[in-house]
Amino acid sequence: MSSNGDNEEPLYGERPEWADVKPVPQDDGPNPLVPIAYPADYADAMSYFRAILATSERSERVLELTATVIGLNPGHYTAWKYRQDTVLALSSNLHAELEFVENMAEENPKCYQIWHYRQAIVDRLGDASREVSFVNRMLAIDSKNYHAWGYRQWVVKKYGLWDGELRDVDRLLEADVRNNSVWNQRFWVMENGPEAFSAQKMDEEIAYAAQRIAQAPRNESPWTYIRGIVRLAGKTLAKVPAINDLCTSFEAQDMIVPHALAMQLDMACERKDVSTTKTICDQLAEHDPIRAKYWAYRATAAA
Amino acid sequence: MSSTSATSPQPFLLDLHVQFILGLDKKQDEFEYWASEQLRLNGVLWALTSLDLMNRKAELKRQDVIEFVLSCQNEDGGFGGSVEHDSHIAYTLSAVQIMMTLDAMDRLDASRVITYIQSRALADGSFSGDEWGEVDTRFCYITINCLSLLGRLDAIDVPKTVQYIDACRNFDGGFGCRPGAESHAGQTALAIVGALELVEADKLGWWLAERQLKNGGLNGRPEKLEDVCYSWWVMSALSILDRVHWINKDSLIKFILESQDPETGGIADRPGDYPDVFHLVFGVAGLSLLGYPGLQPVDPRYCMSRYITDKLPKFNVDWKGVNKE
Repeated sequence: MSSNGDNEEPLYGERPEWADVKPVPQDDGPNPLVPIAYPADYADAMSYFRAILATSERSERVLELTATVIGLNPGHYTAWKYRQDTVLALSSNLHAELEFVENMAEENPKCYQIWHYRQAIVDRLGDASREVSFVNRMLAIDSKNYHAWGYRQWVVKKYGLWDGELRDVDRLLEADVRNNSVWNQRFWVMENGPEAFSAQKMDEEIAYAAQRIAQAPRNESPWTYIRGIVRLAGKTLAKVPAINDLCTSFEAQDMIVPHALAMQLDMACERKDVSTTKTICDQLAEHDPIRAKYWAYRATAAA
Repeated sequence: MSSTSATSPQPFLLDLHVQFILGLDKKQDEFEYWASEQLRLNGVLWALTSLDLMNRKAELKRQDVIEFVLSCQNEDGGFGGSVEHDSHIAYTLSAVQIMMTLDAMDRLDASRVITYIQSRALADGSFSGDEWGEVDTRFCYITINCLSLLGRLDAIDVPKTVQYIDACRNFDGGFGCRPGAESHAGQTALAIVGALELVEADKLGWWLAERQLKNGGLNGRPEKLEDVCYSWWVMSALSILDRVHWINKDSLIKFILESQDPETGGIADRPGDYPDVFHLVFGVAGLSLLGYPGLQPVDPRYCMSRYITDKLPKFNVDWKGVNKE
């Protein structure tokens, strides 16, 4: 279980440049409930890290030490924070820090600390020119990475990098039309982007979603997207003919699509058309049986 | 509640789960054990709550747990995930919940905890998790949960926090972890505990019900895999909204029971995977919410036994799912 297998770095206790520091070993107290047995390399680095914390040293060697601790335990937020404070205190090369983060991120894309650290560095640097391509590289590893999307929104909004957003969104939906994170991003651009959201824009987006629905009619996300877009435009579903056309197109093909039925149900409710509402609820209870009780509730609610 | 034993693939393996928990401490030579050091306090909470829901709380040595929890408290009043770790709001809540479950609140210096939580408040009503500054709707939930357990909701500006949570509500009715972030079942559960009155119950209830997949399991976001932990996050939210009946309970119970490890005990994220204490507690709590027999009734707001939270003063919000028998 040694995590030291692929690098032959000596322990800190064996390095002459650290001889002046007295390591502070782990103290679990007299009767530990959960005594922590570390592997040797982590215990070694941690005991030097504790010593540094006690003296508040800010130096180049601290950067190396925190890199070791973080490399062995990327969720160690105390080590990240100490590194950040040290980098700022030393006025270190922040571009080198971005490279450090990228290497860490490739191995631990879901570790929140990495993203938070990158945000702090970029914020200080005031240069976000590499960030969208960095996020794209991370999304190529996992296109639903929650941290990556959150970070992307921060960068795009703060530095006004809206130009490539819809292009990237479209590319990612082309790769996986079911990726809800991408649909969320598309909506976020419509809502927050520099272009005012107009009725014409709404029509374009419904046409876009309809095209994507044709690829996978049972995909929940574009249907939800249409609802959101219509609401954003301040309209109601029943008053947008394109939505009705979309739903009826499946009837014409003799296809049962529960999401289309659910949309038609909402339109019938808007029109206060009780008999259609009930008919559709019965169809949904049959074709989406796991939520049968929900559709039964909708039928009662409409009466 | 309906009887489910007829459809169960295997019974609930209570004794085996107790053995699984008691064996956790013996795994110290495994990589995952030390790599999760900063989570240790949460691990203790999950283990204790699992045991409590299974009526086996006495299996953990009460005094040892109390001393361990207290050793994680820092100068600033908050708790770290383990001894000598910086304070984080999440571990601070875990500490309070453990002390409450062990009926040891007299050992806790509550005023210091409250001071710490107040220090995490930001101007927009949100909260940062630690001195470093991560912001997430989870931390609004944690704050409200923790202060309500301490009977001190007056210590923060609740309406402002509610306003912040509202800003995280999305076009699909769910909630993300920051304004604009994708809706996520976990965040949604936490958000509505914080601010039930601003929820569109039917729209949100439907989004939550849509999380159920054909095999009975629930996912956290559309087109993601099902996971036992969402049995808790989705179900607790539906329970508070009084809409648990919108999903298929029997198939979800079956899914959770199938995720048990029949050899080692414990529950995994889904059938066939390795079990851990995180999925164990949310699996057991999910079963309790579903009315599975032999378990303590669980409070969907706190993921703690109802007999504990029943002692709390009542909120000024109508918690339908909680008060309904």
